[in-house]
Parts: sequence; structure tokens; C-alpha cells
Amino acid sequence: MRTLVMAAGLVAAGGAVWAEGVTLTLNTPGGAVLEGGNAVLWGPAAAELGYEVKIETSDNSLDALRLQVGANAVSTDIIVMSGYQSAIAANEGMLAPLDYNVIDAKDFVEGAATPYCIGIYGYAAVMAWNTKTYPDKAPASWADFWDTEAFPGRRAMRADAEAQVEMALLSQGVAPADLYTVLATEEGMQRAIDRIAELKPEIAVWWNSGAQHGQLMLDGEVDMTTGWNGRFQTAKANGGPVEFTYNQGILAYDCFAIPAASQHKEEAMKLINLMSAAKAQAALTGYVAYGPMNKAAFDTGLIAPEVAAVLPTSPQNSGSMIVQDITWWAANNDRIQQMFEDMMTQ
Amino acid sequence: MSAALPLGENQTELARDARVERALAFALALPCLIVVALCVLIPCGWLFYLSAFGNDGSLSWENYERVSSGASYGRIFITTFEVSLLTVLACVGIGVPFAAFVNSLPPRVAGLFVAAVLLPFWTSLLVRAYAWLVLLQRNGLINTALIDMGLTEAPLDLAFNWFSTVLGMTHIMLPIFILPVLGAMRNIDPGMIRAAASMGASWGLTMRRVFLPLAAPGIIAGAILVFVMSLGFYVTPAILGGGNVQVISMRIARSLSNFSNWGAASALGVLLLLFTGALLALGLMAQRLILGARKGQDHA
Repeated sequence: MRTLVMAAGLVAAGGAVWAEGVTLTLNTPGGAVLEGGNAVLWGPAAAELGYEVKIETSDNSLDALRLQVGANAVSTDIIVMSGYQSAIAANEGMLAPLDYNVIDAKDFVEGAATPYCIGIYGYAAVMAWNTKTYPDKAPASWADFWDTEAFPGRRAMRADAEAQVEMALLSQGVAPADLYTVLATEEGMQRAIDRIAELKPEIAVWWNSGAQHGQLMLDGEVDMTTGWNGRFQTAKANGGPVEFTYNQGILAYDCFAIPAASQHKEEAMKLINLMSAAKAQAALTGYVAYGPMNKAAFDTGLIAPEVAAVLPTSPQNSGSMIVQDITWWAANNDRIQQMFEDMMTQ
Repeated sequence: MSAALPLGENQTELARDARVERALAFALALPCLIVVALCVLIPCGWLFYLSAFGNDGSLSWENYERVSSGASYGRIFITTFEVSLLTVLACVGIGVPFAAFVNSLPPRVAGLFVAAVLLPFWTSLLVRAYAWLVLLQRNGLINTALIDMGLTEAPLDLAFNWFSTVLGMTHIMLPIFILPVLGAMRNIDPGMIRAAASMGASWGLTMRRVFLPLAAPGIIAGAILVFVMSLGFYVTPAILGGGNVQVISMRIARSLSNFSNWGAASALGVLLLLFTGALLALGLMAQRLILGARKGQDHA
């Protein structure tokens, strides 16, 4: 038996030695992130290190990773996750700890370089509206989103509780500082779900992906929706009648993690280090309206002042937003999602 | 005279031939049976097995208790059956007249119509669902045309609801329904129709008393096929329902993705399988009753 294990070990080691180039599989959302990542993140970083990068895309990387782990077929070496998903994945033992001796994180936004995941860009779940439907008075807060008399029109929300429950409570005037205290109790969670149920008759579509809510606004399918600022920025730039506000936005970030079952952890750390550098992070803002999590990116001179003005992590914008509490989400995700689903099918 | 023939011997040989034939047929069917066993029975058994374990890994009814206690599961099952039933009704309503029409055409022209039915069958589900969205959405082709013609002031809510879901599913299931119906109609002796007409039966009476009863086996087979397949639909309700039509397959997917709960998802799969099996058995029984009763009448 021991010889067998040793033989297997030798074969594995031999494989690593003889592999000509390392191929890392990277799981990322599609859209502008994929385009920007190819151009300024993993594209140049892999070229510098002499690696090959194979891309997988998924709308929900936690699902993708769980399915891979559940099927015992983990093919991903680096995975782009949302911060709260990374906390859940880490709790479930699916992630490898990051080596901050290899990855330089000294200039990162506080709390954005966790033991298992390092921030890439910050984004906000915001409210967007059709400028043709509301030409005179634009909605300004979540209270307006729920106010169907002052702002009649078809709405869309995410078919998932994430960020939507925070918006529901904010619409009732809960102070940002009290948000997660209210959500800490079962009654608080039910209150948020009930508030969404109240608006349900007005919700024409429950969206599942960023691409979908961007398209819903471009097509004029709905008049108001929740969604991510980057997609609305793109829709606006494409000439769509779309406007959004950072006021009461829910600020979250996506981050790079390494699955515990990856065969190329060392190489993945090196690649992540290059992708986290201030210059790479600054360059990404040319592709997505998401804010760099490496604060030094704003000092590189690569981000023009007018671009910084629309980025959610720039000092002038991040003040009007609420930073999403990843710990609350990691602890309560299953419960709140169950309540949300029951509400959806009622 | 008959005593001269070695009848017994002949029978033995015939029986042996029949045995050989049966063995050969079984051997030919064997690869198929193995594939069925590997690809259907084993995964189904695995599904039953998974559904019997709770989240903590112990043997329990937990997954089934959750389904029976949560009101939303009942609603999801009802929605799934309602959507499937509406799809069957739409298929019968559109498919039977269409098949009867095609059946009445000369073979060459009929071939063209059958090809027209089969053509969308070769297009991806996803493409067809999005194509419907392009037509049905608020600023889509249909609403734009209706508004431009002055037929409606405000755009109609055509997409992201039950209507669009059933429409999309009917579009997909129609070829599957029409083929067995057309097969049954092809087998009807045109002489029967002429005979009925020559005896003074009106067109309506001929249809009701002669043509449709003879086509019934095909219609019932098609309806059962469509119903059972509709129960498992995922892509079409997910896209065209816009989250407003929650069917069982969507809940199974979310049980896996949101909660990574294989037990819960498997329990839903097992229940769907059992319900489908029960309905299939009921359908087949009804079919036998209807057809059997008629056969009795024919002989009388």
C-alpha cells in the first residue's frame, strides 16, 4: 500500500516537474469584468509569469464552486466571488488561506483583504430608473422605490435576498447604523421580507444576473430596478435612458479566492499578487465602473478625476453608501434566502 | 390423414424457433437495457438514497417533512401541474385541428407542413425562449405593432407571466404532440369517413363519432407525453416566467445552488418522479378504459 501511495506521489510530482507551462483555470463573471480582466488583470499577469489562463464564467460563483466540490471535480484555481460568498465558502471549508507573504495587501481598503479572499473591485447595489418615465422628478431613495403613487411604473428586483433586504429596511427609514441590528432578529428579517412582499404586485420581473437587469433597463422593460452600478453606467454610456443614484447604495466587493482543492495554489498566489497591484487595479477602471479596493490605485495618476467621481469606492461617493456586513450574510444567508423564496412563491 | 403428419415434432421445432428468436431479440435489446440501467435506474436509485439523509448526514425524513410542512412547496407543485395541464390543453387545441388538416392534404404537401412543424424542434430551447421575449416584451414587436396600429394605448403585459410561459412551452411541445396524433390519423381508413358521409352523417358528426374516436389513441398518447415532459421544464419558465412562475425544477435548482442541499433537492426530485409515475399510470388506465370500452362496443 505504501509503495502505491509513494508511486502515486512520484507520478504527481513528476507531472508537476514535467509540465511545460502551468495552466490556471479562472472562474469569473462575464461582461465588462471578463473583458477588463483579459486586458489588464490576468492577461498581462499571466504573460509576465509565463502561465496560461483558462476562463470559466459563471453568474453565481458560490453555486459553481459548491457544485464542483459536491461532485468532487474542482477544476478552478482562482475564483472571483462576492465578499459575502467568500465568507460562506470559507466557512464550508472550500477555500485555501491566502499567503500574504506572497500577496502584497498593505494599501487595501480596511477589511477587503480577508484570510481567504482579497478584494478586486467594489460595487454598489443601487437604484436605477428610466429617465423618460420620470423626466421631472427623479426618485432619490429606497422610500421612493417603494412609493408607487409618487413614482408609478413597473419595477424589477433581484430573485435573491442579497442586498434586497437591506433596501427594504432602508425604505422604511431604518438608519444605516441600525440595519444589521434589526436584521439580527427573526422579526427583523420577517419585517424586511414583508416589506418586499408589499411591493411584489408592482414587480414585473425578478432578475437573476447583471446582464439581465442592464438589458431590462435598456429595453425599457421596467421603469425602476435594483442592480449594480457598473451595469447602469454601461447602459448610460450606450445611450440608454438610464440614471442611478449612489444614495443608500449597498457597497460590496468581489474578491479573488483559491479553492482548497486547487492543484496550483502557489502559482495562483503569484498571479493574484500581480493582479492586486495598484496599477492593474487602476487600469481596470477603464473597463468597469467599479472602484479599486487597493487605495493606492487612486494615487497612480491612471484614474482621471472625472472617472474617480463615478467610482463607488472614491472618497466622495463611498460616504452616502452602506457597507454590506459580510459576517451577517455568512451567518444568515440560508435562513433569509428560505424566507425570501417562500415570499416569492406566495 | 392428419395422423400422418408428425404434428408434435413440428410443434417442438416451432417452439424452439420461437425460443431462439426470443433470445436473439433479447440479445439485440441488451445494449439498450444496459444503457437504461446505467443511465436511468442507477441515478434514480442514487436520488432516492440522497433524499433519505438529513443535512447532518443522518438517516431521516427531514427532507420530506420540510416539503410537507412548507406551504410554498404545495403551491410550487400546484403551479407546476397547472402550467403543464395548460400546455397540454393548448397542444390539443392547436395540434388536433392542425394534424387533421395535414392528414387531409396530398402526401407531398403534407410533408412540407410536417417539416414546418419539425423545424423549430431543431432550434435550441434557449434561443426559442429569447425569441419569444423579443416578440412579447413591453417594447417588443407585438406591442409596438399594436400601439402603432392604434389597437391599444398602453403596452400589454405579454412577457414574464403565465401566458408567456405556457406559450413558450406549447411552442416546444407541439411537435412532440403532433407526431403521434398524425401517426394515428394516418392509420384511419379514409373509407370509414366516406362511408359515414355516404350514410348521411354531417361533417361534424363524422368528426365526432368516427374520426376523433379513431384518432383517440394518438391524442391520448401525445397528451400524456406532453404532460409528463412539461412537469420537468426549467429553461422556458425561468426565462419567460421572469420569476413570477415558480415551478418545481426551479426550486430544485435553487435548493442546490443557494443551500447546497442535495438531500432537499433529491427529495423534490423523488416526489416529482412519484407524482409523474402516478399520473402516467392513471393516464394509461384511463386510456385502456376508454379504448377498451370502445373495443367492446365494436364487437357487439
